[in-house]
Amino acid sequence: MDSNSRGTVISEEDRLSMLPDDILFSILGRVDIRTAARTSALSTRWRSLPWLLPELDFVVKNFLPVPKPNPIEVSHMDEAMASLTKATSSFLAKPRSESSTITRLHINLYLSNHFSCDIGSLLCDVIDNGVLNGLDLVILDDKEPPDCLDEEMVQQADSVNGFFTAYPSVLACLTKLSLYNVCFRDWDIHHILFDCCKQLQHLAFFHCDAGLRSYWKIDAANSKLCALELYSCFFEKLEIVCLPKLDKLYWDTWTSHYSPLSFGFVPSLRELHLSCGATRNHKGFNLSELLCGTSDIHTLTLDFQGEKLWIHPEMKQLCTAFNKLRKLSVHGIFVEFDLVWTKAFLQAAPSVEILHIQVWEHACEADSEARNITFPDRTNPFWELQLDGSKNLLLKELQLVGFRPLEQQITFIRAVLERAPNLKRVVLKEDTEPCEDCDIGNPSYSLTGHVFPKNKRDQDAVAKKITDGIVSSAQIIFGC
Amino acid sequence: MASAGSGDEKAAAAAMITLISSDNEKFEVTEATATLSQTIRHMIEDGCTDGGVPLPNVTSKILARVIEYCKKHATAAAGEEGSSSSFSDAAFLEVDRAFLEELEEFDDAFLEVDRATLFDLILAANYLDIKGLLNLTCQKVADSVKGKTPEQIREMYNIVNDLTPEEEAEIRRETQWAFE
Repeated sequence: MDSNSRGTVISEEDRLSMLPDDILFSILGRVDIRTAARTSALSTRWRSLPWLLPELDFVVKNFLPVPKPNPIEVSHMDEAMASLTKATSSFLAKPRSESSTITRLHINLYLSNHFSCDIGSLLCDVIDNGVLNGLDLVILDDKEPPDCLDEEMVQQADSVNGFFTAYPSVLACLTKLSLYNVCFRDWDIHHILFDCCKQLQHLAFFHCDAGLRSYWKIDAANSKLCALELYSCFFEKLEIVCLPKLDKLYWDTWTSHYSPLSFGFVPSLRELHLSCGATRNHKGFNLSELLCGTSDIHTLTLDFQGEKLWIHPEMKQLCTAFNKLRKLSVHGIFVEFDLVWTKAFLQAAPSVEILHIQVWEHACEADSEARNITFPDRTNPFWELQLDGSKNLLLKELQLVGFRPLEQQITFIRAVLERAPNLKRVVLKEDTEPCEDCDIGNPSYSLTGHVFPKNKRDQDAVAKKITDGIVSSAQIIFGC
Repeated sequence: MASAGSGDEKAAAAAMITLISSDNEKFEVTEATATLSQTIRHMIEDGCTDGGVPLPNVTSKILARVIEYCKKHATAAAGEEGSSSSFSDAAFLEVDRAFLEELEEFDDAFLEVDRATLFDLILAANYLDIKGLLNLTCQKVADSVKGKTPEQIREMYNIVNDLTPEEEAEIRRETQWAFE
């Protein structure tokens, strides 16, 4: 390689093309699929390279003629699906040897037209030829839950079921599946997901259920499923009887008036995220009862989205479920609420190392009539705490997002400092999560009249107020 | 806040490794720094690092840069291990978010190199099997070609087009969707 090209012409060397294939794959794997495909026209060195990429991503929205439209026009959707089909065909129709298998194929599409048939057969071919190891399939549907009628969900279910019936090989290869607006009342979803999808590890449902107020029971001893995500899935109850590999469960928004979830055999469950804004219909439940059956949860997030709590006061009852807890996040606590009730969690979780609190304050919603129709008045949580003087010796960090120098927040932080003698950091932050409505209004408006301390002098005053009279080596850090 | 100094002091008691570049320059580094390279890690495990590790594919100029990267990132790894009992999950890394930000700034500054050095770093990261450095440098190249036409990429990297006009026309016809 040390040719006479060194010296004056060194800058002219084509170092890129000289890189080994593996490195070029790594580079091409980091660009969009169009750019990757276009490199085949660079030179003979590059001609076949992109078609041998081990990881492929086809996302229909990247093929839209206009970026980020809302809503998407049907003709544009068809155009995007047509391009997506051509792209998929370019990559999948070329023969691959067993030494250049596709390790991961992510395909994100609509089923509303004939293009899905072409893609279905292309997928079946690569799967049947043994050159595809893992398929991550997203079947999109753009309707938002409130505008999506039950009939439409049943119809979408028919389309999805039709696709799976026509291309059964797809099921056997799925490692991740995401479905939108599917009502699987009329088909045996359990059989499909847990008998046919033998490789399935990750399942995400967006507004999917088995009919209004339906019960769904998962009992799948042989399933490899490790992550389950549910968004606006309106089951009356999801009963996970047996999912031995389940590691992570995420549920955002349920309509069940009581507990939406129960566990049987979930020995691998370590992470649980529950998020819901309680409406007038939510009656609340005992968290200890929901968590019954779990014993190894180390990361727990409870998000109340600024509404009343959907859990009943409990403390001792939580000890078993909180026994292994290391990170606890309590989010979406309305700004006018007390925070001291969360001490019940701290006492029940002696092993906790990180505590995250997020206070919810949205000026945009101060007197919203729309809110009052769905949501009840917010009642300040008042928990009778029987504290036993125990400490949280392992607690290292308290983070409070949406900090305001309010009495209840200062009192709470002081209480944590006293409970946690080994606390290293108290991180106080502004809530920087964007809210379109709040940003339109006056950004410095605050429901409570208190704002985040911006300058050093105010911050020092707050820090002094927090630590006054308490012996603690914890650093008070103001972030943004 | 963990700093490069405290990390080195802590590791000083541990074994030192000598790395020898292609132009025979010797570099003394801690084992923690050296083992960011899987290649060297395996050599240490096999007990064949006495008398130094010759790296005939890496010049002293590039090796010095690679070591700079490894030192910084080894401190990050040590800081994480030292600060908690057995946390290794990515979710918990946010504990030291300030340090991660510092690391990101370091990486950005580290990548401010001419193209020849960038390619030398890629090859060294590949040879030494340093995943983080390889990802970082490949991403830099990827970002430079993203959204570009073949003509632009050829010009940028001095790629000679040795396809016949017919061949190129055929490729473009077959992948028309990518050119629309």
